[in-house]
Amino acid sequence: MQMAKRRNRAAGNHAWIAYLFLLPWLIGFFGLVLGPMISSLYLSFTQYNLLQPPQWTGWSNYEGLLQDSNFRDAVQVTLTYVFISVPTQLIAALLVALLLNRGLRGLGIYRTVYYIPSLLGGSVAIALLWKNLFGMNGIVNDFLSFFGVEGRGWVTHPDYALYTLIILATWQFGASMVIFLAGLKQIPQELYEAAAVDGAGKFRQLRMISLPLLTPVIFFNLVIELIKTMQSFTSSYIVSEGTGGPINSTLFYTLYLYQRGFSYFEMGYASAMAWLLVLGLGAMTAVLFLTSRYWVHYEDGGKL
Amino acid sequence: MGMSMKWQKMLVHIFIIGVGIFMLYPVLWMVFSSFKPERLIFSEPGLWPREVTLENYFKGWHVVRDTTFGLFFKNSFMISAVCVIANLVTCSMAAYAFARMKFPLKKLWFACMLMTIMLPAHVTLVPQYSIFHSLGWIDTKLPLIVPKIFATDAFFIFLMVQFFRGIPRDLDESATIDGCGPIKIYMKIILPLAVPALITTSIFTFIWTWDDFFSQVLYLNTVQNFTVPLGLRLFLDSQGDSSWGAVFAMSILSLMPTATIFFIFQKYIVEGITTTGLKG
Amino acid sequence: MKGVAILKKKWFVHVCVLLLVVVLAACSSSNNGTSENTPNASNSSNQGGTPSESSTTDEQIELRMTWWGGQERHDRTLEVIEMYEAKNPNVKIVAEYSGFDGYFDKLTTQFAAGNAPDIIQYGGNLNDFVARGVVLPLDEYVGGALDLSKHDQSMIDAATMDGKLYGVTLGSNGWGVLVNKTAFEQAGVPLPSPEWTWEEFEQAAIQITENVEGMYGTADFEEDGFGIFLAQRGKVVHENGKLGFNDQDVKDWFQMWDGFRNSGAAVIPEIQAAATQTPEQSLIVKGDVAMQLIASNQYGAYSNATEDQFALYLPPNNSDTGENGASLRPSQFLSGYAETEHPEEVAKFLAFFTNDLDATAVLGNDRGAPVNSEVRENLISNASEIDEVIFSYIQTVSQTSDAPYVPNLPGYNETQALFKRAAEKIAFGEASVEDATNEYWTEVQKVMEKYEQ
Repeated sequence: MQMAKRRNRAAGNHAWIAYLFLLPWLIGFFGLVLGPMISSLYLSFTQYNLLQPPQWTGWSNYEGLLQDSNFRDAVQVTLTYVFISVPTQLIAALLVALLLNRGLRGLGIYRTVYYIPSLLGGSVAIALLWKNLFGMNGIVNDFLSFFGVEGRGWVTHPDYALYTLIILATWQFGASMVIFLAGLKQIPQELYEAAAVDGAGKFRQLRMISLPLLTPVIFFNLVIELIKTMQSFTSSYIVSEGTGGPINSTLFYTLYLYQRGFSYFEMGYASAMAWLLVLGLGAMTAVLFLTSRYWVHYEDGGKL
Repeated sequence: MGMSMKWQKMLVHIFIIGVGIFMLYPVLWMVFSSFKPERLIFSEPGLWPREVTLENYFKGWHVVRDTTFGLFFKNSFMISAVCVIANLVTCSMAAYAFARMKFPLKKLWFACMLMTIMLPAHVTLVPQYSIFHSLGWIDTKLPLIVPKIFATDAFFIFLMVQFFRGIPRDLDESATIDGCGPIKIYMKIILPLAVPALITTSIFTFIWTWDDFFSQVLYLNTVQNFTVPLGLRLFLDSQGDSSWGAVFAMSILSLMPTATIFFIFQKYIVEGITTTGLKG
Repeated sequence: MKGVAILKKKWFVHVCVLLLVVVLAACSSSNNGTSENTPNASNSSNQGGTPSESSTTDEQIELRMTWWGGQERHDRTLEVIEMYEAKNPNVKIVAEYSGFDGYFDKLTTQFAAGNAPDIIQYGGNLNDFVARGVVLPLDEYVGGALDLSKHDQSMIDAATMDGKLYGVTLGSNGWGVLVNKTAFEQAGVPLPSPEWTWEEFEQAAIQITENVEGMYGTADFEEDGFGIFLAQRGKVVHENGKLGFNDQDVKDWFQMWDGFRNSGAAVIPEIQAAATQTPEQSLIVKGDVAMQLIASNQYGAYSNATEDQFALYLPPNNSDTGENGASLRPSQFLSGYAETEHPEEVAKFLAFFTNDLDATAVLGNDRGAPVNSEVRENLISNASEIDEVIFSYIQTVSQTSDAPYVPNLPGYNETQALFKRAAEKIAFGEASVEDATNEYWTEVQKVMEKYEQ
C-alpha cells in the first residue's frame, strides 16, 4: 500500500518529465501528422480531383459508398483476406519462432533464410515470381501433375487468385517471427529452470510459461497484423498490376482507395474510404483492447 | 536415449531445411535469372541457365551514363542508417512515457498514436507533400528522415510499449528506492532489458526504409538523390523496353546488405541477456 | 548489476559504431557529391539557384523536365539535353526521370502542390490532364519558337484539344497484330495473307491451337481492339464529349470474342488474365499465344525478348466494309506545365526535341516513328532491321486506312477497368454477353457524365 502511494506521488511529480519523453512524438504529431490527417478528413466531404480546388459536397461521398458495388467487393475481399491470413500468418510465425528459438546448430542461418521472403517485400520481382509459381504453366501445377491433378491458373482465376495472395502473405511471416523471437527472449530463463526442477515437461513449460508471458507480444502482433492486413496494398498492386483483377477478386480496400484517389482523380472519395476504414479499424482495435484484459498478461500489473 | 535425441535433432534439421528450400525457391529463381541473357529470361522455362552471362550485372551497375548503382546504395544506406538511430531514440522515449509513467491525457495521446497507424497513407500524401514543399525540402533526404526524428513511426512506439510492459515493475521500484529518477530508470533498466525490442526496431527500420518505394519516388526527383528502389525501377518501362535482367541482378545485390544486417543482428535478439543480476 | 553493465557496454559500442559509420558516410557523400558532379557540367548538382560562375549576360534559366522510360531512353534523352544546353548556354535543364512505376502518381501530387516540372512527358492520358487545366497551351508560339511546319498534320491534330495545341507528339504509332512466324512455321500452318479478314484470322488461330501443344491462336485484343473494330464500322469511340458507339457495338465485340474462345481460336481466360502490358512478360513472348495486338513502337521490345521471329500484320478486315480500321496514333507527348515561368523557353525546347536533326538522330524511334517528315527520312536512311519493319508498317497503315485518331475515352483508367472487367466476366462465365454489356454500358455513361461537368 505504502509503496503504491509513494509511486503515485513520485509519478505525479514527474508528469513534466513524461511530457519531456513524449516531446519528439508530440512535435511530430502536431507538426507533420495531424495537419494532413485533418485535411484528409475535410477532403472526405468534398469533391477533389487533386488538380483543381476542392468543392464541398457534404455527405455525398459517404452516400456514394453505400451504392458502390466495387466498394462492396473490396470490403468482402479484404475481410476474407484478413480473417484467413492474419491467423495463418501469426500461427506460422509463432510455430517457426518456437522452432528456431534455441537448441539447434545453425539457427542464425535458418532464421535468415526464413526471413528472406520478407526482405523481398514489395519488390517488383515478386509479381513475376508469383506468376511463375502459380501460373498455368507454373511450378505448382508441375508438382500437382505429378500426382495426376490437373492444375489451374491459380493466380489468374477469380476463384483462387485471393488465396495465392494469402499464401504470399503467409510466406512473408518474417516480421511477426522476429517479434515473437524477441518476445521469447525476454522471458526470464530461470522460470524454465524452476519449472524443470518441478518436473514440468516441455509442453507444459510452453503452456504455463512461454505462452502466458508471450501474450503482450501476441497481442501486439494481433493488433498490428490486423491493421496492416486491412490496409494491404502492395501484394495485389504488383501481382494484379494495380487492377485488383481478375474481376475484382483481389481488389483490396486500399487498392480500390488508391485507384479512386490517384487513377480516377477522386481524392475526396478516397478520403471518405480512408476515414471509414479508420472507424472500422478503431472499433476492431477497441474490441481487442477490451478483451485483452482477460487474456493478456502484463508483468507491470496490467494498467496502462 | 542419446541416439534417439540425435535422430530427433536430425529430423528437425531436415524439416527446417526442406521448408527453407520452399522459402528460398523464388530467390534462387531470381539468382539464376540474373545470369541468363536477357532474351532467355522469360522464354526459357527451366531454372538452370543454358547460357551464363555477367552482362546483366554490368549493365545494371552502370544504370545511366555516369551514374552507377553504387550511388544509390550509398544514398539508401545513409537514409536507412539515420532512420534507425532516430527511431531508436525517439520511439523508445515515447514508449517509455506510455508504458511506465503517469501523466494527464495519456489515454488520449495513446489513442491518437494508434490512429495514426490506421489511416491509409495514400490520403495524407498530398498534404504532407505540400508541407515539405513549403519547407523547400523536395528533392532532399529530409522528408524521408525528419518524420522519423519526430517518432512518427507509431508502429515502433507500440512495439516498444508492449515490450517495456513485459519488464517487471519491481525493478523500477527497487531502483526508485535506490534514488533513481525516471530518466535513470529509462537509461539503466528499461533500455538494457529491452535490447531484443531495440534490435527488432533497428532491423525493421533499416529494412523497411531500404525497401520503401512510394515515399522515395515522391520526394526524390533527380538521379543524384536516388535510392535503391528508385534505381531498380529505372530499368522498367512497362510499355517499352525494360531491362529485366538488370533488375534481377541489382535486386540480388540490394538484397545482400539487408540480409547481412539481419544475419548479424538477429543473434542479439536471442542471445545472452539475463535479468538475474537485477533481481533481489 | 554486473550482467547489465556488460551488456550495456556491448550495446553502447554497437550504437557508437553505427553512428560513426553514418557520420563517415555523410562526409564521404558530400565530398563525392561535388567531385562526381564537377566534370559533368550538365548534371544538376546545384539547382538551388546558386549564382553561376559563367560570365554570360543572359538571364540564367532553369527548366525541369520529367519523363519515364527504360535505360535506353534515359541515356538518349540525357544526351539530347546536353546538346541543347551546349547550344543554349543560358538554359539549364534539370532532368527528373524515372521508370513508369509511380510516374503519374508523383506527377499528380506535384500538380496538387503546385510543384510540377516545366516540361512533362505524357502518354494517351494527356486529355485527362488538359481537362483539368494543368497543361500549357502552345498556340502563341507556333510558327515562332515552335516550328511545326514539317510535322504530320494528323499528329498535330492529335495534340490539339478544344481547338488548342497542348504539346508536340513524340512519335507515331499504329496498332498491329504481332504474329509469331516461327510458331506458324513449326506447326506447318501457312502464314495468313496480309489482307486478312476476321474470319481468316479465326481460322489461322484455330489451326495454331490445334497443332501446337500448349499454345493458343491469339490473345484477346481487349479495349484497344474494340477501337479498331469500331473504326472498321466507320464509328469512333467518342467525339465532342459524347460516345460514338452504342451498346450493340459492345455486344457484337464481346460476342465475337466469345465465339473465338468457343472455337478454340482465342486463349482461355485463365491465361489471358495473366497478360501484362510489359512486352517481356507478354503471352506471345512466353509462348502462350501466336498472335497478339501490340503498338508498333513496341515491336523491338517484343522481338528482343525472345528468339522467335515475329511479323507485324494489319488488323483483320471487316469483311463487310473492307476496312482494317488501323490509324496512326501518337505514342507520347511532350508538353509544358501551365504554371511554368518560362513558357517560351519550353516551346523552344519542344521544337528542338522534335525538329533538330542531330537531336532526333540520337533519340531514334524510341518513342515511335518521328512525326517530322524530314527527321523521319533522315532516320529511315540509316535504320536497323527492326526499325525498318516499324517504319514500313507505319507507311502501310497510312496508305491503307483513313481511320482518324481518336484519343482515349476521358477517365481512361476508369473506363479501361470497366471494359476489362466486363470482358473477364464473360470469359470466366460469370455473366452473359448481354448482362456484361448492359453493366458496362450503364457504368461507362456515368463516367462520361462525370467528365462533362
